[in-house]
Amino acid sequence: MNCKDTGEVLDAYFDGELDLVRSLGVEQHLKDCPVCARAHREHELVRKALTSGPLYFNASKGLNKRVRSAVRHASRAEGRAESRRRGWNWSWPMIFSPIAAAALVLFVALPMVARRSARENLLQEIVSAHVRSLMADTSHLTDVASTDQHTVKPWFTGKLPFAPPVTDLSAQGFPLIGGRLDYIVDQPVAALVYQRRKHLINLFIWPAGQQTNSVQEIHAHQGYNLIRWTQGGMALWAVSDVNLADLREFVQLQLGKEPSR
Amino acid sequence: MEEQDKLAQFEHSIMPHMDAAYNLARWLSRNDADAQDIVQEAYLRAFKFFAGFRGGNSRAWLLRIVRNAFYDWLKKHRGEELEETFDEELHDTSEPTSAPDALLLDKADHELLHKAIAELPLEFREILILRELEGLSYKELSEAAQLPLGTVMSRLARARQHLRNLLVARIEVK
Repeated sequence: MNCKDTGEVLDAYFDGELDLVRSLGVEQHLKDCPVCARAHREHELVRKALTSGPLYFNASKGLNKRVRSAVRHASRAEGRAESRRRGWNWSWPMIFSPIAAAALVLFVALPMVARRSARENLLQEIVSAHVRSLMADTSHLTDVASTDQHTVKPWFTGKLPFAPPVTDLSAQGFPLIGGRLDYIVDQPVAALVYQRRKHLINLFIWPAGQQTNSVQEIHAHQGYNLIRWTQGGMALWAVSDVNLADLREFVQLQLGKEPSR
Repeated sequence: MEEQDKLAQFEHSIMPHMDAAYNLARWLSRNDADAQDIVQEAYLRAFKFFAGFRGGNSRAWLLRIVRNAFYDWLKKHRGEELEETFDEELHDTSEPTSAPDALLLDKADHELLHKAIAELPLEFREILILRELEGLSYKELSEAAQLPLGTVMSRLARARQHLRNLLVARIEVK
C-alpha cells in the first residue's frame, strides 16, 4: 500500500472498521512510512483528548424528571385514544359475521379474552406500580418511611377504607421500609415496602371481596416474580425482582408460617 | 402493543439513554436550554414511533431521532444558519499543513479542545460526537446521521483533519 491508498482508509483502520487484508496492508505501511504514521498518531492523540476529558454533557435530574413526565403524559393520552378505537373494533364481528360466529365470539371467546386480559392487565399494573416506585427522582417509594409496623399501620387509617395487615419481618431478613398509597385498577390500595438484601419487595393489599383463603398464584411478568394470595379478607400481591424462593419465603412469613425450607 | 407494556418497555430501553441524547443535543445546539427542549421533543417522538423500533441499538435509534429533532428545531429557530449549505469540497481541509510534529495535544487543555469542537462546522461536530463520545460503529453512524457508509468514512476523516488543524492553530497562537 502507498500513502494515497493508506490515506483513504486510515480512518477506517483507526476505527477498527477495515477488513483484515487491508488492515494488514495499512499496518505494514505505517511501519514503513513516518508521515502516515504521524497522521495515525495524531488521530490517537485527538481521540485520547476527546475521551479522557470532561467533554461529555450529562442530562440533569431536572431534565430527566421533565422528560419522564412528558412521556407518561403522552402515554396516558395514547391509552385513552387506543381504548376508544378498540371499543369500535369489537363491534365488527357482530355486524358482519354469521349469527353462529357472532354467538361464538360473544359467549365463548370474548369472556375468555376478557378474563385473561383482565388478569394480564392486573399483572401489568402491579409490575408497573412496582417499577414506578423504584424510579429515582420521578416517583416515591414510601409516603411513610418507617421500619416500625406500629408507625406504618396507623398511617393508613383514614386514608383507606380498610386496615391492611402490617408485619415487620426484620428478624427474618425482610426489614420493613415503609408504606405508601398507590392505585391499582383505579382503586386506592395499600403498598408496603420490604427489603431483601439489595432487592425491594412491594406488597400491594386491598379487600378481596371474599373471606376464604385461596391458594397462592405464582406469576412471572417482565422479569419480575409475583405471588398472589388472600388472607383475612384481603387480596395480597407481592412483587419483586428477588428470586422466587425468597419471595415464597416472604409470603410464608406474611402468613405467619415458618418457611418450609 | 398494550399501552402500559409500551410505556414499561420504553422506560426500560430508551429512558436510560438520556445522557447520550442530551450530550448530542447540547453539542449540536451549543446551548443548555435549547438542548433540553430538543431532548424532550425527541423523547416524545421516540415514544410515538416506539412501536416501529425493531430492536438493535436503541441508543443509535434514539440519537437519530434527537438529530432530526435538532434539525427541525434549527429550521424553526435559526433559519438563517441553515442557508449556508454544507459543501464537502469547500470544507475540504485535507491539504497538508506543516504543523509541528506530534501536535503536542497532551498540552491541549480541555477548554481549548472544547472551543475547537464547538467551532467545527455542524456536520463535522455531529459525526465526531457520535463517533468519539458515543462510540457508534460506522453502520450505526450511517443510520443515526442518515448518511451512506462511504460518506461516513470520508466525513469522519475530514472532521478529524479539521479539528486537528484548529487545534494546531490554537496551540501555535498560545
